[in-house]
Amino acid sequence: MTHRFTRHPSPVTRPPLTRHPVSVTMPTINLPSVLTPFADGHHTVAATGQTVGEALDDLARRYPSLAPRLRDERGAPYPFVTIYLNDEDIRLLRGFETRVEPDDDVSVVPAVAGG
Amino acid sequence: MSAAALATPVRHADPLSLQCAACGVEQEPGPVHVCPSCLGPLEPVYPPDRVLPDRAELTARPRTLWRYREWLPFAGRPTRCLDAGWTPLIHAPRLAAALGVAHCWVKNDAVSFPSLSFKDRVVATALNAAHAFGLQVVGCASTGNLANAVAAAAAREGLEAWIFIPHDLEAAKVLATAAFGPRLVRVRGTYDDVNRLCSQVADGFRWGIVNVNLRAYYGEGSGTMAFEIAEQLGWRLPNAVVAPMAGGSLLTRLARGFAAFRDAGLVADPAPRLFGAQATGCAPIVRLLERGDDTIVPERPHTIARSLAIGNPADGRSAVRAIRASGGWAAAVDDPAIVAGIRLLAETTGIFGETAAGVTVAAARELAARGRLSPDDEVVLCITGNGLKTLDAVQDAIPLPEPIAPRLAAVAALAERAG
Repeated sequence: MTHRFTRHPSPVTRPPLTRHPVSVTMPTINLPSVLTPFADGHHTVAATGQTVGEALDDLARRYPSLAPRLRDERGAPYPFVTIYLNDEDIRLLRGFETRVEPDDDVSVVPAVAGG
Repeated sequence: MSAAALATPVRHADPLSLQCAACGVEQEPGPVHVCPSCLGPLEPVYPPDRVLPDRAELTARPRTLWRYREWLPFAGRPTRCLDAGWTPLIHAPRLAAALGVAHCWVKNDAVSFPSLSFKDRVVATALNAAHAFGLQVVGCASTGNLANAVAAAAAREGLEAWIFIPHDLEAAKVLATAAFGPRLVRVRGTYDDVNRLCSQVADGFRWGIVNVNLRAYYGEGSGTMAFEIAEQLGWRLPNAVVAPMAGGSLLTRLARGFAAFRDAGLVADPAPRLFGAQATGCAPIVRLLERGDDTIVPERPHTIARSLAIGNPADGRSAVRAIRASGGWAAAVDDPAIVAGIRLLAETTGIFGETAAGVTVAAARELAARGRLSPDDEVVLCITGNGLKTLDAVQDAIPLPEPIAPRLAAVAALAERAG
C-alpha cells in the first residue's frame, strides 16, 4: 500500500469534525493545508455571505490572521493564489462579486507550475 | 576521499533549502511549494560560496544536463534520471533565410531522452527531489508532454505514478503515457481544472506531484536548456531566443540560465532578447505583455496547441518581466499559422515538431515580419516537443497521395506531372 496519508487525511476520509460548527446551509470555504494553522486547524469552514467576497470577509473576521493571506492590503487577490467557486476560477465569473449559494464550495488554491 | 566515504554509497542528492520568491521567508527542504507566510512560490537557495566549474571542467563531464549540477537544486550528485538533457543544437540556414535573419539554430528537444519533450529536464530534477524525500508515488497535472515524461521516468525508477490529464488530450499523448503503466486519470475539464485538482491532491496525499509540491525543484531543470545553448554555440550567446509559453516557466528559467553563465564568467556576450510564443486561442501571457499591466487575465483555451493550453499560467507574470527586461517581445499565432509553422520547420530543417513547435516557428515569423527580429539577428528557436505526438493537428493539412500501381509507367506519369 503506497497511498499513505500525510499531514491530514484525504478529502475522501477527512472526518466531518473539521467543518466549522456554524450552519450546514452556508457556503463552504476549502483551505489548503498551509492556511489551516490560521483557522484553528480547519480545512473546511462554513461562512456567511451573498458573494465570494462577503464569504471571505466573514472568514477573515472570525480568523483575523487569515485575512492578510486571502487578499492583499488593497483587498485585491494575490497573483499566486486562485479562488474557485465550485470548479470555476472566480476571475472567469464576477470575481469577488460572484454570488454564492448555500451549497456552494469556495476553494483557495495556491498556483501550480505548467505541465 | 576517505575509505569510509568510498564504502558508503550515496543514497541521494540532498535538495537545497527553499525561500519564498515573494516575501523571502526561508523554508527547510521538502515537498512543499507554498510559503506558509504569504502563499508565494518557493525557490531553492543556492550557496553563494559554492565552487563553480570552468569551461574545461564542464566540457570534460558526461553529456547530460547534470554536467551543470552546480546550477541545479541539490548538494551532492544526483542518482536518478542521470541521462536526461544534452539535446542537439542544429544550425538551420534554410530556416534563417525563410525568417529573414542572419543565422538560426534549433534547440531540438523533440529528441529529448526518454520521452521526446523538454519535460524530461524538469522531471529529472523533480524525481531526484522525490527520491530524496522518500516519496514512493509521483504524479503530475499535464497537457501531455509532462504526462509522458513522468510516466516514463517513474516506470524506469520503479515508482508508482498518478498522471492527471484533461480527458480530450491528443490520442498519441494519452497512449504514449498509458504504455508505461501509470495510473492514468482522465479528468473531464481543461488543464486548468486538472491543475486545481492536482493542487488539492498534493495537499491531501503523500505524493510527489512534480509540478505542484515538487515545483521548486522541478522548475530548475528548465534552465539547463540555456546552459546547453551557450555551450553548444561555442561558449557564446545568440542575439535572440524564441520559446513557447504555457505556464511561462521556461522563459523565466532561460533568462536566469543565461544570466547565471554570464555571472560565472563562462560567456561574455550580452544576454539575448527573449521572445515568447503562444497560440491566439490561449495567449494570456502575450496579452499581459501587450496590455502593459501586471495582472494575468485567465482565458478558456481553444487551440490545437494543447501543450500550451494553460489559461491561468502560474509563471506568466515572471515570464513577462523576463521578456521586458531582456528587450524582447512576444507574439500569438492562430491555428492555421501553427500548422504552417510545423511544416516550415520540417521542410527547412528536417525536424518534425509538435504543435508547440509550430507556435514557436510561426511566432518567429510574425516577430520578424513586425521587425522585432532583425536581419542581422542570430536566433535560437526552442523546439520543445515531437511532431509524432500531435499528428491529429496536421493530418488534414497534409493530404496523402493516392496509391499507384507497382509499374514504372505509373512513376513516370507522376514524374511528368511533378515537372
